[in-house]
Parts: sequence; structure tokens; C-alpha cells
Amino acid sequence: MSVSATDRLRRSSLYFVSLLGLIATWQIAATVAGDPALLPAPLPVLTAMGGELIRGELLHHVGITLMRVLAAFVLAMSIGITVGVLMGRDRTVDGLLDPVLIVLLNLPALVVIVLAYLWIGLTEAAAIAAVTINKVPLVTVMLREGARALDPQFDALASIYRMSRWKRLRHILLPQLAPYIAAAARSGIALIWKIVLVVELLGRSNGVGFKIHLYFQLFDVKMVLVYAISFVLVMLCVEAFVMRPVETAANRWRSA
Amino acid sequence: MSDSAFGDRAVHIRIDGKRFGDTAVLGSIALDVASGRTVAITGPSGIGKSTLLRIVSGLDHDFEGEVRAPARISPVFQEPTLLPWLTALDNLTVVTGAGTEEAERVMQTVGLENKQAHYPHQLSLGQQRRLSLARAFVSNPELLVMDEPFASLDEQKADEIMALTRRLIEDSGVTAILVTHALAEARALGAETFHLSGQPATLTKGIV
Repeated sequence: MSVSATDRLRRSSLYFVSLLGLIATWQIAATVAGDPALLPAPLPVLTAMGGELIRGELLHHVGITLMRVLAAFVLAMSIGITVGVLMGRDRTVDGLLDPVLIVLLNLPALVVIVLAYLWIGLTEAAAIAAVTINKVPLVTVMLREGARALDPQFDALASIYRMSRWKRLRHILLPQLAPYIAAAARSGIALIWKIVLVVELLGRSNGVGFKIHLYFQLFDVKMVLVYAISFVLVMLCVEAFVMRPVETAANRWRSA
Repeated sequence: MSDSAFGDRAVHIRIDGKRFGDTAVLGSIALDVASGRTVAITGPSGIGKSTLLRIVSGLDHDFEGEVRAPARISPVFQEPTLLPWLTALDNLTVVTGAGTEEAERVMQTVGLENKQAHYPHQLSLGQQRRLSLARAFVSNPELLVMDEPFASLDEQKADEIMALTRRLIEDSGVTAILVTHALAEARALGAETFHLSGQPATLTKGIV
């Protein structure tokens, strides 16, 4: 077994130990609390989760939330990468947009959400726009750093050899920006889904956020946990089966 | 100033001035390089050699005067400047647009025949240098522009790479301009030498 394989095995066993520890702590806390209405134990929550799954409720709402997360993620990444690279490469653009960026970075997510609903209305577009506006500034800041770190010698090389725009993008620009895009994507997906829940809570009649709000009003802790944990699980899968493989593929040359 | 009577002139430089803000970097510079000749421009660091080379390469158009150079130019930089995410072979084909067969042939010429699938970080510095030379020659350039290409090498490696460079230049018959602070490098390539000095810098014919 190679060193890296042993290392990976070690890491995944630590991962499971950590998860088991978390569940064990939860079980102990539930036993100590002794009030299933306040803190249900893991097993009843799991049973309730199965029930929701069979009724089709869970997948429906998780699916809707996931679509909102994806839409906002794609929009925020596209806009953030474009604006960030422009700001990093052009001082005039940077000077013009930097104050706007600082204002947006300091605008509370809640304010953006409320204003989007007030101005656009309680619509899907308003919900996606609110989440996107919350995330764009962070992607922009990270990609601006990436664009500032671009190697001018590679630009000279591309200019002298008259490489096409597509070749420059594909072989010169994107590989240099890849670590910054990966970092922005990783922090982005985590932030976006948290904001999506708030957006759903405030102005949507479906999705995980809506359900959590509903069960909060009914003081049903078990069902709040069912929806919260389900979505965390979905996002862990996204991380493990989408984000990480893409990152590994992009970094293959490093470990060659 | 060159009074070269050799054939057609591959490079024609008539610069009246080049400024960076308030600083005049280059003064009046006139130089013609005949096709197939190697010319070295020497001078201390920061005098404006690289600026002159950027103008000749078409990377800097913000100057007074006129420069005519061939369309197919190949650069050799102080660092190998290889794309780390591309294999050795892709570094030649993707960047220059050269075909695979041609790239393999040139890699053989520089002694890297078994390294096509290697990434730059898997090559030694000497091999990276050879690869950057291979890239420069694979596109069959009309003009080779070299900016301190031997500066980052130790003496033994530099001699080896200089000999290889000279051989490739002679075999291809390419016109070449070398910028260096070391007169020995100019001699090693058998170059006609010019000296860049003063502020703003001007060119004088050197002693070879």
C-alpha cells in the first residue's frame, strides 16, 4: 500500500470516528435532557426522517432547496469570477468597483433578502437574486486576488505566440485561477445554502427553510432536526461526490 | 549602429524615445539586424535592455519611433516559463501550435526524447531550459528574442545550454537578438555585440 493510500485510509477512519463521536454526544445529551420534545434522540429522528422520505415530502423540499442553491451558486460564481478577474487585471475597473464591493461585503444578508422581496416581490427570482447578491462580493474578492497573482510572463508568451482567446482562457488563465475558483466554490456552496434557508423562511412556501420555519412555529424540534440534518447530508454528498472529484481532476498535474 | 551589408534586414529598429511616466528610459536607438545574424545587446541591469526587447517582440507599442520585425517570433526568457499544468510535449504543441511530430523531433534534438509525458516540475532545471529552447525552435521562428536566457544557470550548465543554443541557431539560420549583462554570453553565441548605456539609454557598437 502506498503512503498516500495509507494516509487516505487514516483520514477516512478519523472522519468516521468524528461523526460517531458527534452522534454519541447527541445520544448522551438526549438521555440527560430526558425530554424528547426538547431534544429527541438520534433514532426517533432517523425514524421520522424515513417517514418523511416515504411520504415524498422530504425529497420534494430538499430538491427545491437544492435547485435554489445550484442556481444561486452558478450565478454567483459566474458573475464573481468575471468581475473579480476584471478588477484584478484593470486598475480603473478596480478603482471604480472597490467602494461598491466594500458596501456589498458589509451589507447584512438579511437586509439584501428583505429588500429583494420588497422590490421584486415574493418571487423565485427575488429569492435567487437575494442569495446571489450575498455571495458575489466574496467570490469577487477571492478572484481579484487570483487575477493579481497571474504571471505576466505567461501573458507575454501567449501574446508573442498569438494564442487564440479560447486557448489563453483554457491553458493560461483558468489553470492559474483554479485554486482561487476552488476556494471560492467551497466557501461559496456552504454560505449559499445557509442563506437559501433564510430566504425560504422569509418568503417561500416550499423548501427546507420553509419546513423548518413551519415546524419551529409548531415547536416540533424533531422535525426541525429531520429537515436540517437531511440537507446537511445532501451538502456533504455534494462536497464528496462533486466538489472534491472536480478539484482532484484539476490538480492532477501537481501530484504527477 | 549597424552598417551591415548582409542580405535583407530581418529587424529594423528606429526608436526616438521610450518613457515610463516622467522617466526617459530609451533615447534614440537605431539598429538593423540582417537576416540570419545573431546580435547581442549588453549593458548593466535596469538600463532598458528588456524594455527594448519587449518593443521588438511587439509586446510594448507605447514608444516613439518605428520597429519592423518578422511575424513569427519566439521568446526565450530568463526563467524557462513553462506551463506547469501541461506535459513537456503539450508545452510545445499547445503554446506554439506546432504539430506533435515536429515537437517530438525538436525534443529529440535537445536531448529530451524520453520526457514527452513529463510535467515541468518532474524535469531538472537544465532539462526545463532545454524544453524552453525546444519550444522556441519548434515553431520555426523567423526571429528569436532572448532575455538573459543563461542568467539563472551555474557556469557548467550555462556553457552547455549556450553551446546548444548556438548549434540550434546555426542549424536553423534564424535571426536572433540576445539581451544580456554578460559579454561572455554574447561571445559564446558568436554574436555581433552592441552596448546599451546612459540615461536615456543609447546604443553603441561594442568590441567583440
